Amino acid sequence: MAKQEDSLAEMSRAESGRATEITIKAGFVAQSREIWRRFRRSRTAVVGLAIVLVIVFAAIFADIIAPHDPYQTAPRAILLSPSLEHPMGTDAIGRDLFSRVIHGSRVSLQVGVISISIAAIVGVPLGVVAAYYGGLSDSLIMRFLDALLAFPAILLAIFVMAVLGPSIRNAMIAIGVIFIPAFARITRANALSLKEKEFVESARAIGAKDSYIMMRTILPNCVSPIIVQASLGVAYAVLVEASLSFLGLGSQPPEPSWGSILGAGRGLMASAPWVATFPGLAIFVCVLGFNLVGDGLREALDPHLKNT
Amino acid sequence: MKDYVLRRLAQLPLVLLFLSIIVFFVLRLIPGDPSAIRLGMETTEEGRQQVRQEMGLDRPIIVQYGIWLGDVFTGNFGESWVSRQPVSSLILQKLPATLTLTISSLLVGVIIAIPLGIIAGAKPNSWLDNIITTVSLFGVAIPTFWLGIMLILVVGVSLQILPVSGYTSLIDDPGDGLKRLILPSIALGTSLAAPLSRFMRSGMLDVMSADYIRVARAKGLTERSVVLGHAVRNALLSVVTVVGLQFGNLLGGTVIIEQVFEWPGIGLLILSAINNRDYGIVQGVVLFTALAFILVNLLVDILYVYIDPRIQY
Amino acid sequence: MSDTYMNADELMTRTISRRKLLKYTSLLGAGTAGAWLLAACEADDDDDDVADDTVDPVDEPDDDEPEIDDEDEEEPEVDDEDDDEPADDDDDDVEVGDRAITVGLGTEPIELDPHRLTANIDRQTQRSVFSGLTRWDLEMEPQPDLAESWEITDDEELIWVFDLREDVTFHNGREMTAEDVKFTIDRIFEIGAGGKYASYINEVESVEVLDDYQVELTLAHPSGVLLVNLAVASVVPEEEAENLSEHPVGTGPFTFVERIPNQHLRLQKNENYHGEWAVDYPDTVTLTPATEEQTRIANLTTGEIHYSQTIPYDRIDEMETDDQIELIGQHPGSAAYTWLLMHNQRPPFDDLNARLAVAYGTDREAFLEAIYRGRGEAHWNPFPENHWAHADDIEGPYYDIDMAREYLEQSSYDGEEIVFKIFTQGVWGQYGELMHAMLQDIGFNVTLEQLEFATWIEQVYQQHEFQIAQTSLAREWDPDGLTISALTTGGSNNPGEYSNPEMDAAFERGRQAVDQEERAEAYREVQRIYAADQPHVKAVNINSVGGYRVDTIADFNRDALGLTRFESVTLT
Repeated sequence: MAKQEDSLAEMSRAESGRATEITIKAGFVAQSREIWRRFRRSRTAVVGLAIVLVIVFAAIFADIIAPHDPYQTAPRAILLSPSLEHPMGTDAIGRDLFSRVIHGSRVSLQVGVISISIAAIVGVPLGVVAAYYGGLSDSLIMRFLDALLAFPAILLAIFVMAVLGPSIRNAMIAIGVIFIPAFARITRANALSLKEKEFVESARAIGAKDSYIMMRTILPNCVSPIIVQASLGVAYAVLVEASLSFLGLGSQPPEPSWGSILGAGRGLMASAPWVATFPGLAIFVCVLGFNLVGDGLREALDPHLKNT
Repeated sequence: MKDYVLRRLAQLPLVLLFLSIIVFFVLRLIPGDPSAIRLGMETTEEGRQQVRQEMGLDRPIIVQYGIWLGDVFTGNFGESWVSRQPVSSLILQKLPATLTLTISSLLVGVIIAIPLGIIAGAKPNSWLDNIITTVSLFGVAIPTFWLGIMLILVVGVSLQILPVSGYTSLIDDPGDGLKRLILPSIALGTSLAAPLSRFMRSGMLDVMSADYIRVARAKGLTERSVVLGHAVRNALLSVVTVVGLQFGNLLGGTVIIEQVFEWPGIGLLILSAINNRDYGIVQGVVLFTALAFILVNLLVDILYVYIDPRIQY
Repeated sequence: MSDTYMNADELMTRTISRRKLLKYTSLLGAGTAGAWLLAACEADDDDDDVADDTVDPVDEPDDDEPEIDDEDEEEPEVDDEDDDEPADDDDDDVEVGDRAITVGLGTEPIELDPHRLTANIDRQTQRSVFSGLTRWDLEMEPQPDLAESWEITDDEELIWVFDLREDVTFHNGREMTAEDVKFTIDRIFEIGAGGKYASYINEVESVEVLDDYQVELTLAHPSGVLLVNLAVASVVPEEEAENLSEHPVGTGPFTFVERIPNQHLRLQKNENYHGEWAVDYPDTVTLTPATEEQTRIANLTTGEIHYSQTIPYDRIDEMETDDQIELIGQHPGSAAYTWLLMHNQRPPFDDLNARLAVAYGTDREAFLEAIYRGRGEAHWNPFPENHWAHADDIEGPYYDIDMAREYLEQSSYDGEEIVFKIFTQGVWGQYGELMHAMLQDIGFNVTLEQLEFATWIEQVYQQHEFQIAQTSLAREWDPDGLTISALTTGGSNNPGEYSNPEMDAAFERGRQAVDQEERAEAYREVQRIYAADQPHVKAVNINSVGGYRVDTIADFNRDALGLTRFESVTLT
């Protein structure tokens, strides 16, 4: 008798698992189409996407696009103003600025994407676990996040960079750390409301494992706010990296990063303004692009927030 | 309510103790010994040992921690080994500058953002709304330090209208203090205005669809008085909260603007302290910021009960 | 930074629950969760009064009226004024009047104790607040200061008797006597390796007070550097010795008023200053650290500061065209130079050929042009060309990339990765990047490692954990002070652990010879060995440039260390 019940439960668990999976998959395709349709409707979002794609393109094909070696110094051709040969001029030790800005997109994108991934990979599970288990684990996790939040982001990043030492890898970690609470909290908030939803209840009722419930039922339904947060986060991460590099805590020379080129060129604003102008523009355009995409995604993913 | 406050206060020492341990020991992980800055390139092993001894760095780390904890309890938060001043008085010395900058840039932000947000929110999806939304996005995307440098160059150097750096207390010399305050406040305020105007806009959107606005419209009030009389006031409430949140964030988050404008506040204090490996200051400022954060948070919680009686703890 | 990024729309919820707001703001704003209400600032405003007591409420010099009116002509000649009143001790009541100048420094002074300091910038206050038995004249030669005269009283040239001035008081009002000289020298030895000056006067064996105004130094061996080095043995009063780091008290041309970290360090004219060589110098000098070069230069051009002690090299051309600003170099030359440290005991640079490869592969002219805009000297020799010890006829390495590659070929280096450790401050980042490119050009497989200054010092200078690193040195004008610490076995500036007994002997000779001809001969030997050994590679003698506003400052001296003698400043 008891055996029979067990196997019944087993069956229905497996079935419901498959069923959810199928619904999720089918739903996902249909959903993405719908999302894309809504995304496309916003002109600014499409512009943003175009910007992001151009930057991604520049980053991938930097070696081909860049007319010069971004590391080739020319101590006798320093601070040349923009020309056909050097569309953005040369920097203080004679390197071609255009090539450096193009290669800089690699650094910025890398930092943006990787640091946000770090934040998501750490933050999202924390949020789900906190929401799902509640009680002590929730308090512990939330207090930990509160501790991180007790400091202004840039201070926290500076502090982490000081401990780890300046390098682009460490900048990613530092920026990742400051974003952890953002992801954990947004996930937790969503998971908390999902926890009480019927499909979660039912999964629990048929005896699904906690990890299964968290991974397969709660998490997929938290995805859209996380994606929105991520795309906006990339924009912010690019800014933070620029700030850290500006303070000399970011990328390692001679690797070109927009922030460090700008930082090195800031003393030249009066005599050779192009050195700081172009990387500044690059940061601006990149951040703008990701912001537009993020805004577009938010509106596309969450119809409730649409303008009345 | 009373219980809640008492409970939170009771937790305070524990939280602070925990933070103090983290800060103290993490700080010791930072590569680069404090003696390196004191001795610079004139280094012998003997000298290093001696300077470390003078600075008390040769003692067991637990003992160092205990000494510092004692300093915290006596209220001076330890001592800067550079200027030999108590950290508490350094913080008090730098706080007015940071507070001034924080408040004034929030003011700049609010002054720019509120009207824009109202206009955009009152007429959503109009061409005006689109322009404002786009401009505010620009505000988000411009790096603050870049804007600061540009302002220095254009307003300070080319036009020579305003001084480009330094801080004068508004109490001692309001005229000079104000002149110096303008550029950094604009640089910081602009970046604050962008998100604020978006808050204001969505606040407006939200309020405009509320029942009482419909009632007001039904009563035949002009759109102008509906917006200004009813909607704005309610939308403002949430913006005030956001401004409050930003305030705490800015107290230590003005680092880069302080650096660009040589504004001698908390940010510059901790930045130079990290560079100098001035452990005392770093520990003190971090603990102070956290303490202030927690206390103000509590204060806000209490105030909220008065503002919105529906909230209970 | 815009920590201000938030998502407006998402944040809006029907009810204004602060908890919710807080939650959303933080999750959207990436750590934007400081929660203060404006009420909090009112609470903080109360503290302002407390804080303001520590902030000096003085007026800044009036920018609108840079012209100093005729008042300064009526200013009494104060030098000989016999005034028993100690100089103004009350920190809070300093009036900054018209005869005040504000100076921008590139870095902030750290250590004010004249016997403990090591950084070059810290000597700026040392020079202004303290005096030694001797001082350096404009050519960096020793002249009487606190000591009126001296004589060597024995045949072996070991016993020196100094006669002190009788009209000198410390800033705290007490008269300076021979006891203070003894206390000072004892203190320098007591601090020992905790400062740098013990090594400057290490030939002094004992100090004896003969009477109030006479002191006798007994040396271990004859010394040609004693007089020049006594200038940095700042005489301090015993009763203030505990607090010198916080509040330096000496006998110099300026009294220390206050230091507000990140803001300013203020000095006030010592009305009882004994030095007849001082001109009618400013009443107040305010040193402001402005690490942001862009801002410092903007302040100079707008008249916010009157003098920037250093001008970034890439701004020099621009400053030259500004008729409000006069540039000033180092006089009589520069005691600062950059070089490439190499670890002489570890591969690959334990091999002379590898070092020579670097020496011939360093394009010094390129450095000079690109980084220093031609200000300075590009040759292998650490002694500047106009230095009395500079030997013209010794051949050293020069830029020849083929030769460099040939030396590399002959060396034991076989392409393994080496790490080049740099720090980035000001031009140092560019310098490091340029050098990195040159090393690669020679054929080294080199990666660049950028370190924070403190970390760089710890690794390179304290732990000697490096293969090759960039550095610079600004020490003394005297050839001994200029190079001894970097070239002798166990020297404090010799992390590359270079050791050559011949070199040590040459320095010893140079130090013990009293006659300058004889000394020059010893340093010729130093240069010869240096050229052959290349323990490190000198790149450029830096000639840094300062800039001052002609509407405020008429003239002054900026010495071989790039430091300013504020007692030589005349106002317009």
